[in-house]
Amino acid sequence: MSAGYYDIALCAPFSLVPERFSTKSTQRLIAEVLSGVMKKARMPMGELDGLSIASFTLAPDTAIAMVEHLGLSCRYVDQPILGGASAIAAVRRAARMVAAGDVRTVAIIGADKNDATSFSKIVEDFSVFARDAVWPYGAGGPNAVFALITDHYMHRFGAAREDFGALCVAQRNNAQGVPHAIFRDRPLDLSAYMSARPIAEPLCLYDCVMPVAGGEGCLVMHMRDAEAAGLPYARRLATLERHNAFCDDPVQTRGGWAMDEAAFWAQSGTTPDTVDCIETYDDYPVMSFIQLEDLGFCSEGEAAAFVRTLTRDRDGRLPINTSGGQLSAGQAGAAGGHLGLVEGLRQVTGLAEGWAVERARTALVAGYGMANFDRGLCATAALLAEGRRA
Amino acid sequence: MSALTLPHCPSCGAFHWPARTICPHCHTLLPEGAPWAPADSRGTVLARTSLHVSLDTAFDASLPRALATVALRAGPQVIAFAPTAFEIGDPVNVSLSQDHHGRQVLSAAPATRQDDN
Repeated sequence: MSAGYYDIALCAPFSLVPERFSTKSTQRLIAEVLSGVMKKARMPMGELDGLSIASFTLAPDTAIAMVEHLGLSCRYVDQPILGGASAIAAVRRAARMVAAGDVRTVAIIGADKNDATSFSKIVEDFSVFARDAVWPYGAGGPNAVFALITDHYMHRFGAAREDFGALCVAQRNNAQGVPHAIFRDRPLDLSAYMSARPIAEPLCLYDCVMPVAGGEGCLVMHMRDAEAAGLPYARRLATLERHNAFCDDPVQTRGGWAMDEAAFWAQSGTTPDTVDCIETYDDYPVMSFIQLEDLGFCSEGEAAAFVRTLTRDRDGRLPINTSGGQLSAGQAGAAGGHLGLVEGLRQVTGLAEGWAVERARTALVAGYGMANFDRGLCATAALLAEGRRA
Repeated sequence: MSALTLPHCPSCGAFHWPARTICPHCHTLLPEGAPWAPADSRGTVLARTSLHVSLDTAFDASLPRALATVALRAGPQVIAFAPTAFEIGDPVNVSLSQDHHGRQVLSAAPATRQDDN
């Protein structure tokens, strides 16, 4: 394995403050994220030679159209269409390219608009399978698919709604004071969680992410470039990417993380018990549970007990989804996976904008995406470690 | 006795769902427009939901609407309309019909004794 692959830095985390609905175009949101990232990096935009954009709503444009739009000249342009797995997939690709010397500085950007109809348009035309075998059944969208996955999980492993609620409530506590969390001023308690209106039983209001307009981004570069620029940065210790794993499981109880978990920790040179904070892909709390299990923090079906054993601070905060996750920040389409990446990067570089986990030196970030038919197909994970703190 | 037809691979005999262009089991390229084949309609409920919110206002009048994931004896698992009284593990029969858009939709009904589930 190339030694350079272990010398990759992530830096310049930036998050837009999301809006529930916005008339802004996706092109504008991308431009705002990239401007924010480059300002954090104190680097002229013209020095970028790599651009990775994840978005569901960029059409008719593509990443290369954005290269011209933004006035860049690039050696690497990528548009991973892996939903919430896109951010880490982009980092994984960019890390290899940077290590090989094929590109120097890559912006990893996710952004999606949200006007009154964009979310239902994305869902209705999401895929041929979804159009044929999910949408005709009441047009519930991902809520219906993940209600079925949640019901099956609860039955199989004996999890209760209170178990999911404990995580959702802790995440909302984490979000208080985070400037880019849409529910930063809206704390949640377990009784409000339990009595919320049903969306797709057993899922109720606080189990479901709110679609928003927004975007997130950061840079990938060689550590020596981050050092030379004096930027706070995180090191990439390991990355994982696996799609359509365990396709014979009749209902999803695990994802691609479980298939490659051992290789992931071997690549990282560390173990789950050394991780200081975990950023799951929390489109629904059951998926956070599955990621905790698949990535080796606990055994299959044991996530509820694992969450109970974690130490909370005096404000009820847990080191899982430290800025509140998507359940508190909202889901800006394909940028939902960038949210955890950018937050994990902040935690290990001393750049947290809300709650800073004490002495956070390593962050596990997971991505998940593309409910094509009855499950999400794409699984990613990254382990980030403190490089240089702010 | 089954009224259910499903996409089918003439090469390995396996059923699949949703319809595909290639068999996901043996990777045989399927003939274009191949007819669906009669399939065992019996199955078991794996998961249930009651949908209270729809993204299509055409469904609003029929909410809440019960759905289930059903493991068919024929092989694939499907999402189907369901009665509200189902429990996980219940035996069901799945049938195919057309909705008002002309789309093929699956519905699960309680299995009767004669169905020998």
